[in-house]
Amino acid sequence: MKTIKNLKTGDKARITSIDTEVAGSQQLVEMGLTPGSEIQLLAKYPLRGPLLVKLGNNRIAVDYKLAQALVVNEMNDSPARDVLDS
Amino acid sequence: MRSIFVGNPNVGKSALINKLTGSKLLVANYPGTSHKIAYVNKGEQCFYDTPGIYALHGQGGNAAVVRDLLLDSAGLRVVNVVDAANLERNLVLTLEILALGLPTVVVLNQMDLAASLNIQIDMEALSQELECPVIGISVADGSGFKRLLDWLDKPVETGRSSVDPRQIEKLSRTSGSPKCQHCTEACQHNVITIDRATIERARTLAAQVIKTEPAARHQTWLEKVQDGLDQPVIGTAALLALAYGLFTMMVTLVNLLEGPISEALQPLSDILTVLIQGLLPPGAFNEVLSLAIPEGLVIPFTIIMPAMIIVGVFISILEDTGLLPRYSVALERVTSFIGVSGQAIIPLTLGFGCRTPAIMATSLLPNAAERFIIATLLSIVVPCAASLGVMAAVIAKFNAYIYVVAATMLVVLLLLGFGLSRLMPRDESFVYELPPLRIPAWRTTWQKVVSRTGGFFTEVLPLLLLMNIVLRALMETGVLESFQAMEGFTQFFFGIPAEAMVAVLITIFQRYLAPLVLLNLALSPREATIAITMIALSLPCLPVMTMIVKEMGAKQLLSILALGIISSIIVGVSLNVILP
Repeated sequence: MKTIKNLKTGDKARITSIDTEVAGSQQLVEMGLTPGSEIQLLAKYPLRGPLLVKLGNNRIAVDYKLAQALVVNEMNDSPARDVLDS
Repeated sequence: MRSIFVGNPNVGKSALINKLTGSKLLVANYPGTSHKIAYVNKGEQCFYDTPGIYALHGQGGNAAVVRDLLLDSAGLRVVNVVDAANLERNLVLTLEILALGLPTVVVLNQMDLAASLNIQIDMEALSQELECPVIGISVADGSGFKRLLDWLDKPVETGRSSVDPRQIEKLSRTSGSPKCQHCTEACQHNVITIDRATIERARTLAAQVIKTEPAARHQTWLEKVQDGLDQPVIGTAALLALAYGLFTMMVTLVNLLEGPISEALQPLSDILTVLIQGLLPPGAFNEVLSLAIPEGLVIPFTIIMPAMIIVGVFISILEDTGLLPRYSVALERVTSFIGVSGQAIIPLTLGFGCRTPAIMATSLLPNAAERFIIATLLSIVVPCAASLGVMAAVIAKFNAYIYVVAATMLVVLLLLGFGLSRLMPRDESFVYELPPLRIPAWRTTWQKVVSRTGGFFTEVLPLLLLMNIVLRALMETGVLESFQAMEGFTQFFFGIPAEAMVAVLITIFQRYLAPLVLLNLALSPREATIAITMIALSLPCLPVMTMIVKEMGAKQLLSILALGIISSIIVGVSLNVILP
């Protein structure tokens, strides 16, 4: 299972599910980080710092623990990779 | 007629109400500026400003506050303020609101920003799909306001003025106890949250009405700056450099301005002295007042007023540009060390202006434990603009070690926060939306500076004058010297003379007045450093104490006062041991 923590800075991905076991994950859904939405990882702050995610025209900072709840599927420019991944 | 303005955080609800009514609700470029319901009357209309929420059926106190207001819905209309540049997410709340069945208008705000992002919205199609009027407005050029005002002036259609009963049940269930009939403890089974169908509908709707996809375009310089600031290493370094730059600029400016201002006011002070000397019968009373009144009137203008204005300008700019919330991401590791989530940076920074509104701003923190930690740090450690001015003046006069003072304050902040957070273990989580960087509307920023410095005339000036008279009386009558008996004790423990200890004790009445006593003493740099640090790390002023009692209760205040006294003593003793 891949979460946004596994993405590299600049990677685009689609959220596939939200791990509701992680405390505070409901907040993510309310802010629009819902399954199906496209995101881009803008920055990872060092020392287990927050992750900055781009959603539409929004920038949302999510702390390291909560980032675990965002399960994603990486999106690539070439559609062939998607087939390989699945 | 009552209209409630509801929308996502930072979409401009308060700014819109200000524009419609001429009111002066506090606005800033970060989510969570408004944290309570405020209402503004205009003629027969009453406009409710609400804290921003992402979903009606959402968790958190703000959503509950809005739901409670909607439940009391007789004759209520909803103005749903929507960020045109973020339609999809905003529409989730819009759909939840429309389901209530109240008369609603959807206001698309920030149309100019959307246009600059190549986003064009088919408002007619949106209006048809939502079955309610949709008005696009831009605060910048005032377009759309006429239509909105017309809608607000229209009487409410009968039969459509209260919430659909089924929705009432749903609203109260979101607010109610989360325990379901099968569980003995609080559980998630009965909690109503935003449903998948609403999210899906918002997504399809947004795709349907946005006419042009954001095409490739040139980044503006502001966006380039923003991208740079949102880089972990470079961005954090730049933000810290900016903070350091602003701090040094403040200290330098305060010291530079002191001389000229004091010279300019000298004739006035001389006239006052002569006047008082002539008017009052000769004697001790005459001597005290002819000295204390001119001095008490001049000092606030020479050292406090400049600091209040300069800090007011800096903080207002940080707030209105959207730089302030960026510190909350860059410094999240630091705030996590003291056991609070990143947005705690916002009240802490506001505290450098005035700590009373900063205590109020702690409401944007997620729980009571975090609010207590930040209120404690604000009360004991963070110096307000008035204190900063006085401290800068004292430090300059005695050549005290400014870096020792600053470093000690930082260490106390970290240790106190760390200690408190270990006493109250809990799970903190941090999710925060960064607003786009903006060039502030200078007029509103300036208005904010003016309202921030308003306390100077109502509070600082009269209190300082009064305290100065008391102090002068104490000095002239020799009462201050009678503290000499304490000299051995204060020198042994804290390495400062007894009179300086009196200054430390005076902080109990008003923190920023205490250093004034120091100005009248002959102190070595070392003594001044210890005394000023002990004053800087002690008790909050009276208005802050009142605010803490109001927001958190008297018990919390007592704990904070105890912590303040203890920290001041420990700091004094430690510095006396450490400093050469």
